[in-house]
Amino acid sequence: MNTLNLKVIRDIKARKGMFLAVTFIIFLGIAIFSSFYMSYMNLQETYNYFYEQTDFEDISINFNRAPEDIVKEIKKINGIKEVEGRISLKGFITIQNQRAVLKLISIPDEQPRVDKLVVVEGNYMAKNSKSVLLLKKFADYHDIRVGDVIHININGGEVRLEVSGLVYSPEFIWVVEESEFITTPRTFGIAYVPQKMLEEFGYKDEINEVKITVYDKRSRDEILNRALKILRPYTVINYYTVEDQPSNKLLKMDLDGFKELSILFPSFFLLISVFAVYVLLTRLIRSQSGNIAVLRALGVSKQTILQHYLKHSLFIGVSGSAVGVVVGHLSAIVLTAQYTAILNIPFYLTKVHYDVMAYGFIAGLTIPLISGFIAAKHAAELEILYGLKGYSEQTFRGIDVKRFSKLPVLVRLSIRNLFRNKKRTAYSTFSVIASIVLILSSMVFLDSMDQALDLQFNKVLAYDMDVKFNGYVNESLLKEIKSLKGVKEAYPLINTWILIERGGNSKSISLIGLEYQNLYKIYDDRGNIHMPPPEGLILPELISSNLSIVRQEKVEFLTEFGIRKAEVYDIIQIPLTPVSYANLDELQKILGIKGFNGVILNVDPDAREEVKSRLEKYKEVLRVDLIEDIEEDILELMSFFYIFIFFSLFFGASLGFASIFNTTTVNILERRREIATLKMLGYTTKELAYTLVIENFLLGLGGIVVGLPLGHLSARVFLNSFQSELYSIPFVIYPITYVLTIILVMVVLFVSLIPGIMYIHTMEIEKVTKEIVS
Amino acid sequence: MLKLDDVWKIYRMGVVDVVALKEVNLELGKKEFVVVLGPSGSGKTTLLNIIGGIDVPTKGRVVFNGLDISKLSENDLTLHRRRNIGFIFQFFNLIPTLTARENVMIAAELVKEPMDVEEVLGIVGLRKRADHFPSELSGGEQQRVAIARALVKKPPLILADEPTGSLDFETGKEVLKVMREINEKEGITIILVTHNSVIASMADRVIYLKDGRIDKIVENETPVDADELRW
Ligand SMILES: Nc1ncnc2c1ncn2[C@@H]1O[C@H](COP(=O)(O)OP(=O)(O)OP(=O)(O)O)[C@@H](O)[C@H]1O
Ligand SMILES: [Mg+2]
Repeated sequence: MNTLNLKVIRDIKARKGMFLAVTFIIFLGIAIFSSFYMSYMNLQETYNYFYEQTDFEDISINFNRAPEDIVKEIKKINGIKEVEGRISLKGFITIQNQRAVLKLISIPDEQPRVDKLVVVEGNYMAKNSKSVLLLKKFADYHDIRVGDVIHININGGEVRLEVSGLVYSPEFIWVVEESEFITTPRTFGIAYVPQKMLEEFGYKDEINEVKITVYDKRSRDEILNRALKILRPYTVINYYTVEDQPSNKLLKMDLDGFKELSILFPSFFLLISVFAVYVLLTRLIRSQSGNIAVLRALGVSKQTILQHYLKHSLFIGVSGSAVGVVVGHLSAIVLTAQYTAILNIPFYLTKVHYDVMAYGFIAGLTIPLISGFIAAKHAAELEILYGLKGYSEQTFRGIDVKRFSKLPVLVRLSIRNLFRNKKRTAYSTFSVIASIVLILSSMVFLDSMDQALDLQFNKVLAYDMDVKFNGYVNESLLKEIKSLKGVKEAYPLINTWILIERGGNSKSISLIGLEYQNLYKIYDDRGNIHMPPPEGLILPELISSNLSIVRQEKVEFLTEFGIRKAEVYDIIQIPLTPVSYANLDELQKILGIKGFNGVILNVDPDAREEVKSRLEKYKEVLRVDLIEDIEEDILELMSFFYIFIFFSLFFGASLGFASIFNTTTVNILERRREIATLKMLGYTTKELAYTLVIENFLLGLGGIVVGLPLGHLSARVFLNSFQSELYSIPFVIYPITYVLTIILVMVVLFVSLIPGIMYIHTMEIEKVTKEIVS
Repeated sequence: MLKLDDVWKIYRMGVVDVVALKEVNLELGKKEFVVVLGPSGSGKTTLLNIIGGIDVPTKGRVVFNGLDISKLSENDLTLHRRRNIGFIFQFFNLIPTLTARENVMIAAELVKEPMDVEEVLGIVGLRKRADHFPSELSGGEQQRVAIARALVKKPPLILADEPTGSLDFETGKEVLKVMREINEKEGITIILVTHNSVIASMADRVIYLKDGRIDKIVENETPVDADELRW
């Protein structure tokens, strides 16, 4: 090997800690980029493949009831590929004293033409048999196997069905129960039953849902409108194209999140690496300026010097990004597997994304090469004569040291050092700032989520239990419930939905009708309480801004009872899932009904289970939920989210550590003559360490002063990029988080000094002085 | 082989001009061992740097084997140094992460037909210490590595600026011995700069510099052996 190349390797070996730190930053950036981006691609390909295999719907329309033959009518619309008409009803089953709501969907004798099922256990049912297919996750959760017989309660009647198979459906990759805060297999499942069987529940030769596939995706809206025209006479309840299909919409949101993070997060690392490579190489070149001058005097060309120092950053780039894309690929597989494991999907696809690898590799190579080039250019342009005169340590200019003359010498030395190499001080401060920004941008999710859940479960939902009825019930049932032993308070409520249409844009949203009471409060995201409005509706800001609705405006909307009109009383920011509110009496008037479909209860802790099981005996009761169970479900669902936050925190801290370690070590090496001199003068390692600690403390202080407000700002931006029309989380960072961040940054600053202090401790003075001479 | 024709070097320091070299005329032949002597600031290093092509004259011509190097481009100057010049400095400037042998190899790789690295290490008497790193060598040993590094390219001209400047008397003498040896055995012209007048007695010719001007040139009919130097 060429001896100059040998020198590259020796240079790197001699400073392996620093090269490793910088390479690690590149590695992290590229690994995060490629693992997120590849996960995004894996997931997208997985969904698309599943959708293709199962003829996933393009359009869905729900209506009250229509003759089965309407399907033939719809099918005539130009551009439609297939139409499937079906009946969808609610039922429930009781498993080990636990009641779970089932969405019952009718299926034909053969696979449906739209939204085909993937049977993973058992069989698609035999003709006209009394059998049922269950969504796999639901069956697994309740330990229901193929061949088991389950009793399903539909509209007050009970049917016995044999489980013939376990399935997945493209419609329910994410299972979302309408107007529920959270959906878990504990309380909600999907069941497919033969069409003939559901017809017996008042739908003889009738359907209430159509699912449509089209040939050309661009014609969806037009076809939807034409189908709606046909179905108008049958009271359309809800409709959407595939972009608004609940499961698909949630998947899409997460996909976008993956994609966004894959760019946003690594940018930090690559930006830091630009500085890190520059600092490392500049330091290396400066310490070798004498060598460079001699080499040039011997006849080594500028070009060769430039290439020589480019090779150092080439090494950083190649090793960092090569390992990065490989680790990225592997962790993308893990991430894809872990993520799809929480979904309802029978498989996941992963492959080697050579294109993403290439992008990652090129990015991870180009970035250090660019800053390496700037540094190497300096080396090549070094004046031989200047280099030969020997590198004299930079003299100190720019700050009035006398101002600090009251401070001890070692403290003055620290301050002086900070001002001596301003570029590096700036970079160190920048590393501290970037670490704080990353930490706060991750922590904001924990804090905001924590506060939102606290608000939801300790303030908004102050009740212990809520009851949902099969339909609307009247006061006498409420009286009965109030008289149950252990029930302290009980209030009626209406939990329904509305669909508002505006200029071709339509939004469906939950509507809750409340009395004046204390168990269910309306909070905005600032923590202010709002009363149920005396008239009209309270709309969430998210919806009103989307549909450009203003206060006092009269809006028309679709309800389960047909089209209605009401005034918008107020518009507020509602945390988490957007909900609209009305006064119970007012809502009854608007809808033109009597009664209510839910009750919220405050129950003695000891009597809760008892009350729950007694309530479940009422034939009107669809389900009873304990708030504490829901809270538990949420925490369980959030575990993936917490792992995610943990990793980003870990990455943020590693980035900070790597870059601060790098600059601290460079700082010590650059000053070893000075440190050797001080040692010779009789300063102890402890005293020298003290100056370094002070120096890093000051650095940290500077970084914190800028980093905290900047981190606050970027946390806001990060959080906002995750807000959607499905949920919004009010922004909060707890004071303790700031304190912990400061402590963490300081600890990193001090720990990164340890190798340097050990070096000073074991430093052989005569070796250093000898090097000074040569 | 080398001819300097009315060479001037003026450093512009703001408004004041520092005249480092004035009206220097000089002619050197092959295989000569020349010592440049003069007090500090007299322009010795400047002269050497201009001859070696790491500095350019403000005025005048420097002709090396018929080639006017004062007119060369940056790139051609580099090539000139690569082929024709070996440098030895007061500060050895060895690469600390390369062994003695590797420090020599780095120069050997610059030319098509270098001398054998082991042979060169033998000449400077460093065969045994070839695998040591600079920090493990004494000052004299380090300077001998630097000499080997200059020699290995087999240049017709070696320029040495105070090569004994940071060495003690005994080590200095050994280094000078090696230099005289390669001058005689390899037929390489050597220009050695020093302000130590004792060293002048081992030269074929002594050039006295004073205030940037050649004060006098003295031919030495009977140069003494480096061994016999005393200071
Ligand atoms: N880069 C420069 N800029 C300005 N003046 C310079 C520069 N280099 C040298 N000089 C001046 O030119 C004159 C000659 O310098 P030179 O280094 O050649 O002296 P020297 O004979 O080698 O001295 P010494 O024995 O101390 O090394 C001195 O007055 C010096 O100050
Ligand atoms: Mg000099």
